[in-house]
Amino acid sequence: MTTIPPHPPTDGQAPLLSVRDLKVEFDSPAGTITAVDGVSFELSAGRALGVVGESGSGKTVLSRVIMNLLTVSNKLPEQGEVRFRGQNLLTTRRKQLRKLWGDDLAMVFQDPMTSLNPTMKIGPQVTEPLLLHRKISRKAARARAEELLREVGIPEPGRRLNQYPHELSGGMRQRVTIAIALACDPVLLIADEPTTALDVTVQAQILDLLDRERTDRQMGLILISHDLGVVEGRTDDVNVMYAGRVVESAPTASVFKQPRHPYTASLIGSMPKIEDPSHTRLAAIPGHPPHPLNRPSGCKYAPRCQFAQPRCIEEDPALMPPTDEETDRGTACFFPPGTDRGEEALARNRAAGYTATGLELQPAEVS
Amino acid sequence: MRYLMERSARLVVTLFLVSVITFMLVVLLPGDPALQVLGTDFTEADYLAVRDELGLDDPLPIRYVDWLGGVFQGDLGTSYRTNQPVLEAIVDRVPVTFQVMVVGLAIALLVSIPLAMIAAYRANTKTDTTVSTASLAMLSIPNFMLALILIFYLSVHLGWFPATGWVSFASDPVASLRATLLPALALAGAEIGVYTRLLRNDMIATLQEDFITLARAKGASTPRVLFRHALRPSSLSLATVLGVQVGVALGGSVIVETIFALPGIGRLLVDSIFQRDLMIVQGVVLFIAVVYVVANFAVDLLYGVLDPRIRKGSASATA
Repeated sequence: MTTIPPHPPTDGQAPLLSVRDLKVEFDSPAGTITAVDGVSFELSAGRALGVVGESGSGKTVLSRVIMNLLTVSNKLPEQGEVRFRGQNLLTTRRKQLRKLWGDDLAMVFQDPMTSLNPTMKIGPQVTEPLLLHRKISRKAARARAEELLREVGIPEPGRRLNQYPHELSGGMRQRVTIAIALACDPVLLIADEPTTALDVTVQAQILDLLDRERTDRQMGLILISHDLGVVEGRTDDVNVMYAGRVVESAPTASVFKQPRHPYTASLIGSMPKIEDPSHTRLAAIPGHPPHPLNRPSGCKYAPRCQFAQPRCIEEDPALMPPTDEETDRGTACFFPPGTDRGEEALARNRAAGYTATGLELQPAEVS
Repeated sequence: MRYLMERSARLVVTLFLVSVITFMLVVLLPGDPALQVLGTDFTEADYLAVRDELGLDDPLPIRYVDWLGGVFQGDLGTSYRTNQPVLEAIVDRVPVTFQVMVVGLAIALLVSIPLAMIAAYRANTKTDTTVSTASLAMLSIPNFMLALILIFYLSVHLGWFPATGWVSFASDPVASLRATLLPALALAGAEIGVYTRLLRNDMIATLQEDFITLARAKGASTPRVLFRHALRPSSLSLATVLGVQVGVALGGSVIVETIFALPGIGRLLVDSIFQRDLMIVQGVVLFIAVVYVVANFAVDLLYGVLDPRIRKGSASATA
């Protein structure tokens, strides 16, 4: 498939991370499962990229593969490349990778209840990357760990070093995992659903913390979430994933102003709005994501799409600029919402009462 | 602290039940102890005197309390045959049994932990299948069989180790360890099988955990991930079985010590049973039971060390 770099680095330098035509497949008794299907994007230092998609869209696999940290026995060799400062991580030897992991490349996981070792005190867990990557004494590492905990907003950091994870709340634990990730001043941080397992009140604090650390350290950040709201206002660009593909890639602000893919439009439409009266029914997307073993041959989203036309069943759209003017973004859609082609397609479906894939439309519905 | 108190209370109750059962052992077994003491040539008066001396005509609760009082003062009675105090007979023999058990346990752990780790790390590969099959085989060989195989090959054939006999550690440590090795291996065989299979399964589950992926994402090497991060959270079932295994090993020592002619507790028990020396049997059974109960108490405490979440008393400081 043809791909375009959606956002060329503004400063002209080589990007921090460049992913090209990445394809990850798993062998299963029922057939080959494609988790990530030809994903390409770039990330420059100091910028934040959001990756959004529902469960099963391939975003977690993508996050692991970027670090080449995926060790599932049935994984087939990846295709494409993941270049970190020009070095292809997919072909880098394990020993070299280990030097990057925890040092230049760091990761924050979804659930802080399970991502800290329950049998180890906080102290050794925070000092571990320092002791592995820096020539530093235990004592100095401990002092640094205390500093890190203070930096991520943990009260009484000295006492926490001697506590076990189960003695801390979920929000505190996620702060600890962030401190661990930041220990060696990484240049790229991948946060996989860092707030999903946390209380709503704590979510904003953790996101603000990540945002602040990224700005202070000029660190690249990939923020993965199923929640568009998490990504809004905290990332420069966003990739929307569906069935292993990036279906829309654009500056975050533009996406919220005018989504150019029907799936993104529906995701934004399904977000509850504060100005809605209470008990407003949430706009859900009809249907389910396709089963990875049985994906439609044309556009993967067509069966759920209000814009679907006969062409969408036959052809698989590649990521392209939605209009001639919008060269800074891409959409994998023949009939992008808000464009003449798109509105025409939607009007045609509305008039007919159903789409080319047989999805029924309510004529009165406003998009 | 509450955890410790709870466990201690349970320990006391268990020990009480153990003492009652071992006491009843002698009472319920057929045969008159007085006749054992007297031998063949005695008068009615002698018989009554002995019965009185042994307290055999007192009501059971009184006999129990008398006996238990003695036990607390280290008096387990004297052998009917040799007149040796039972405690002394046990203390003489214990070092032999313990030395074999400890060496056996050490061998079992040193072999099974690395094996289990390799198998778990390479789960569902040829390596894993080989390790699992081998450990099932080890588990299936009875210890007397393994003992005979070891004697046949390593002592009779190759002459590396003595087939039977004992040298105390104090008199000649090297010879003592040489004498220990074969019986220890015979005991370790089945343990290796059990420990490897258990630890492999728990380890596979642990290796799926996020904190293992995080440890790798920190740049930790595979051995470091396995030993530093995965071993402790995976060893709870192993600890449980370790406690149970103390009992199995003590039972196994009966057979192994007989085959290797070692002067240990197991041998003492077998000999005393054949000689109907019930006081010794009672003492040894009580001793084995107490060791077993205390070992499992130690395992309970070990849980708290292995997994700090189990120490309930300290879980109050959630911020």
